[in-house]
Amino acid sequence: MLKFDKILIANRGEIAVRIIRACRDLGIKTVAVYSEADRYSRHVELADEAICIGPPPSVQSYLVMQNVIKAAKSTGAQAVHPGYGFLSENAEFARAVDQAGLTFIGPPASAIAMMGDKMAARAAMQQSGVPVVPGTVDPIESEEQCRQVIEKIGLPVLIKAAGGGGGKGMRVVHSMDDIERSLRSAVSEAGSAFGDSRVYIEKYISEPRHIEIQIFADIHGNCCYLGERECSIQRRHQKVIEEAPSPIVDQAMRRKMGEAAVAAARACGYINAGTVEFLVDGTGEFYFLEMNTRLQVEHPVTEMVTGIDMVVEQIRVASGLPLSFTQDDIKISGHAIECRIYAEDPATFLPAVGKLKKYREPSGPGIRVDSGVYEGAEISVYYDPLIAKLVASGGNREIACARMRRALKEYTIAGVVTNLDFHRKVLENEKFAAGKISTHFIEQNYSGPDDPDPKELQLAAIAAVLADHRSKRSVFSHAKSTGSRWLEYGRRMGLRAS
Amino acid sequence: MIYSAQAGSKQFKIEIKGGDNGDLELKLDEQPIKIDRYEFEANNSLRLAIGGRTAEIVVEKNQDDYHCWLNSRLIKCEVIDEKSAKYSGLAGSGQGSRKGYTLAAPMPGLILKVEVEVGQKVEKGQGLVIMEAMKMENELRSAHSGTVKEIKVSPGQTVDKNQPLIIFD
Repeated sequence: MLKFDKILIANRGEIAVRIIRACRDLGIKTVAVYSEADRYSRHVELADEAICIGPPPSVQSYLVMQNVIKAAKSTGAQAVHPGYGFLSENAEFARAVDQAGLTFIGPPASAIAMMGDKMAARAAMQQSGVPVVPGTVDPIESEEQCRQVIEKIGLPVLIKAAGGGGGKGMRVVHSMDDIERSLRSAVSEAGSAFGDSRVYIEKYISEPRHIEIQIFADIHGNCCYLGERECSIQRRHQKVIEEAPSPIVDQAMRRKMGEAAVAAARACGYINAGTVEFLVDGTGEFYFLEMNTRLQVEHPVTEMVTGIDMVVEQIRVASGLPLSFTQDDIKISGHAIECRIYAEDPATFLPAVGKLKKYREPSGPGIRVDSGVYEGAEISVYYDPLIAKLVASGGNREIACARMRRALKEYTIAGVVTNLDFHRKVLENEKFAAGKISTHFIEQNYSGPDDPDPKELQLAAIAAVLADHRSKRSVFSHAKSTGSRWLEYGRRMGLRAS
Repeated sequence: MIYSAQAGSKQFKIEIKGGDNGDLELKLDEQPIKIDRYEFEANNSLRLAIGGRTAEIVVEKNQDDYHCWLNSRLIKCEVIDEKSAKYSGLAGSGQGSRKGYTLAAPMPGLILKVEVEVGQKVEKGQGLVIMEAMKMENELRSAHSGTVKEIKVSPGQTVDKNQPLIIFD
């Protein structure tokens, strides 16, 4: 039996919709929260109830813990699902939810806190025998210390902020001459970005793959791994294409990585769904990168190859039930790939805003679309410009990719520029097709979208001319309007645009 | 009506004839193209059945051009018809004040011929410059009567949109 019959979703967009769907499948009522900019959002429309928690900027709405908790209390929700982003990896929020007598659908606050501190996490991983990238456990205090470390582990190295990620406070050092400058800029950048200027050093892996392991743990001491996701296709240090399984991971490697991930989860007393990220070098050696203590954006690819509804499982686990599967039950079958469809310039990757004047999602065999938008919806400046997650699956990687290409072609979006063309190009790339990818794939293989072909330009020109022609004629036809609606109708149907 | 359209990097000359009885003749760069059917729907959406294929295109009018969304791609198109090209030349800039009237290029193009000389008296509506823009020859005419003070261009020269061509006293 589940402990709750009403859950508040402390998020917006596609992930809020995804969670509402899981709740509905379980017969659980849902409460959406929304900012003033999201009054007409899909998640608000779908939820049983919705509460406004503030003005559009997320610091005044989706990030205000007390507003979220108040909304849960006032609607009688017994649990809070944080989704990803926003408050999902905020230990203080998990604690506050707990103290309010509600259930946080996620890991314990202590696990979030430990994994949130990159250096503490690294130290704990080393103690538990999880491989980490060679480097320092303690923060670097001087240039001299920096030199000593580099002499030990060798160039190139990466200077990294202890307090955060996303590429801020990060410097690659290729030469001993760069140490002083790189250290200084990393420290100052880390200080201003995270309010924490501590940095540490690790060996820089030049052509790494980003491969992560999905784990699931319950309160009864069970912890399983649900296979890996290959997330090497990244731009601006953010994943854009993910797939499961990885083209380079075989059964033996999966078990080795899976067991390391389970050890990592156990080391921090982890409960619920979590992801352990690894960097994998050219020889297949893997190193702990960090643990994401929440549901991942890319969880659908794991769902497609394991058949497990991860959000449903999260709710069950939070409710105190044991995992609905054992490690032996987990079988990876077929292949799934996800493209994140963003409102962004496909050449510069800068976010775009606007109204979805035309919006039609692809469908057909092997296609799943997780989205939180509709035709007429607005992509605003306030939030992440993710429009949808397009997922294709099939018996093997080739089939999944072919279906993805088909779906990318079918996807119709007008009014906002998107990265659909970017995805189309990557999915047509030979190296990608061969699975030869690394986190540098985009900078090495992508230089912007192709120009539209001449046939498309021709069609666009004809369309523009017809529109222009029509606007001139409509002025004229108004002048000799007959006054009869039937005649007008007949003229419109018969003459079309004349 | 003859139109000239610039879509992305390509220029097309498009001629539309008829349409009053539902049969519309379209020529693209002098080649007849059969349009089976087309319909404008709500939200500036155009359904177009042409040459054996059907497409749905969102066509939005902007200040200077049309935004055409086709296959989820944005293609910007500039459209000029023969008459408007002449008219915009006729209207010029500085309409209303005869003093210091300047004829400016209504669109980017190539100057083919200058039909007046410095000091020449010009009647309203008189041809001043012939320019080729978007594959069409356009005669730019004077919006006012006056005297030519300065000619800023010569045949063979390419000009940008709004570039001054002829200045009057």
